[in-house]
Amino acid sequence: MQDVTLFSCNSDIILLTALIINIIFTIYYYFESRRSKDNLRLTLQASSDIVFLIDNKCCYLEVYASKNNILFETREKLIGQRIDTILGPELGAKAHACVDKAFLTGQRQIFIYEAMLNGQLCHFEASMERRDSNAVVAMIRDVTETKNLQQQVETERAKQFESARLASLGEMAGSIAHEVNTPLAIILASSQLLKLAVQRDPIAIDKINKQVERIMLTTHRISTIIKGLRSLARDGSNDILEKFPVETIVQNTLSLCSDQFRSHGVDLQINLQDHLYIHCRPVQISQVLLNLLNNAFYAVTNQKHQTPFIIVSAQKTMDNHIEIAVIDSGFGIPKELRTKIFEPFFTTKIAGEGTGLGLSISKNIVANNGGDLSLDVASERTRFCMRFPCSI
Amino acid sequence: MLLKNKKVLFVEDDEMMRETLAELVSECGAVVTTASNGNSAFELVKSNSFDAVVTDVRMPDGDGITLVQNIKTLAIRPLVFVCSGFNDLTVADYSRLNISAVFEKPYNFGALVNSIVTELSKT
Repeated sequence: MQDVTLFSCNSDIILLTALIINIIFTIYYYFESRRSKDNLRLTLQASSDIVFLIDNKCCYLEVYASKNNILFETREKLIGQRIDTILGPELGAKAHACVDKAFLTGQRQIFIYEAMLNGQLCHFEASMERRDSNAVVAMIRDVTETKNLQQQVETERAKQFESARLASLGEMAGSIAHEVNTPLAIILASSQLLKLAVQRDPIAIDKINKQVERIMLTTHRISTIIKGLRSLARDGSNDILEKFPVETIVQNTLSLCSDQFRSHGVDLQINLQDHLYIHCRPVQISQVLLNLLNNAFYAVTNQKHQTPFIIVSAQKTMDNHIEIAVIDSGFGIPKELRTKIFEPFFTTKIAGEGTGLGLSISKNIVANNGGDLSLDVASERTRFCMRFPCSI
Repeated sequence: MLLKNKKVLFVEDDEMMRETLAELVSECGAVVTTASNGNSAFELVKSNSFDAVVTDVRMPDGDGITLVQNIKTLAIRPLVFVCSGFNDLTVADYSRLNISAVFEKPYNFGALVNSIVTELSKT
């Protein structure tokens, strides 16, 4: 009996103990859950991120945000609402699709969007992941500051592009004046001869024809130079990529500097395969080519080479690429400098003669055109090579 | 016939420019010889007695300035006129190198002929 009483007493104690343990656990879980919610809130406050729980009907289940002013609506108004209602039809549809995909695939979905918040255009990155069959966790990060910084860097780089492009044109200014002034002088002299021929009695028809022919030819010569100049003097970075003949790019560029090469005794050899096309912004590739030609010219004229030459070649390679190369008769680039030449502000020219931006920017431009610019280390002579995938 | 029987050497690397100028000077009665670079021009100057040399500046195989410097070393020398496509010379260079006049391309051919006539009349 005693045993039974004891048992009964023990049973009460056990029940009581279980109850106390239960209460302790409940209290513990309550505080623990509060603590973890607080932790989440504190973490979010530090990171300024927002976390949403979204159900499979695309409604907000829960919202955690560091500050209310980074939400479109207050937490109370958001809970239970469909995301389409809050985000508007266009953005809502995109977000909806992303949530659906996260539920369906179970894989993390990244969704980037922009929206007006407190009168400012803000950029957000949303990362959505399925928590369970009932909810998707969406973590929203305000990336406006990063975006703005990126934009600033882009603007700075564009400015550097611009100044280097103008610098390479500046280096050519003397040559361009020479290129245009000589044919102008021919036209003027021809006109004077024309005047003399008209004054003759009888009028010297054959001489008139000869001069008119000469003036027409020379005018065409100037227009070629101007065409080359016009294509190089403008900013082509916003042009569309187009399939363009390599030969035209090379001829346009050479029209600006061939006279300078000739008058300095530099033998210019052009070796182009027929019917080569690349997908590019032609103006930009011309700018890079002019830069490479300027460098080559500087190398051969400064080294007082016996027979200075520059070769421009274009060919299709075995691995289906188009290569446009500039080779010069200079003594090549020392091994220790080869890795540095594509770095910004690296120059071997004396102060004031070069910005040191040419090659780094050129490499960037070629990359933006889907190609690659490199120094051919296997070549005995200095050989810079632009490579593009073959355009059919 | 302002330059009747005057011997003029034209030094110019651009073929069409050379031809056109030679025709123009011939129209003025001059006896014209042409050269396409500074080195061959200097050879011609040494073996001929030109009244005037009209030279371009930037040319392969001997530029115009080197030609003018070489001519300056000769005992009997022709008058020198420089035609430049780009501003390569300063006024100080003119007198240092005994250059009679400098013309920037494109120049008025009448002015060049008048200058040659004027300078020749001084000698």
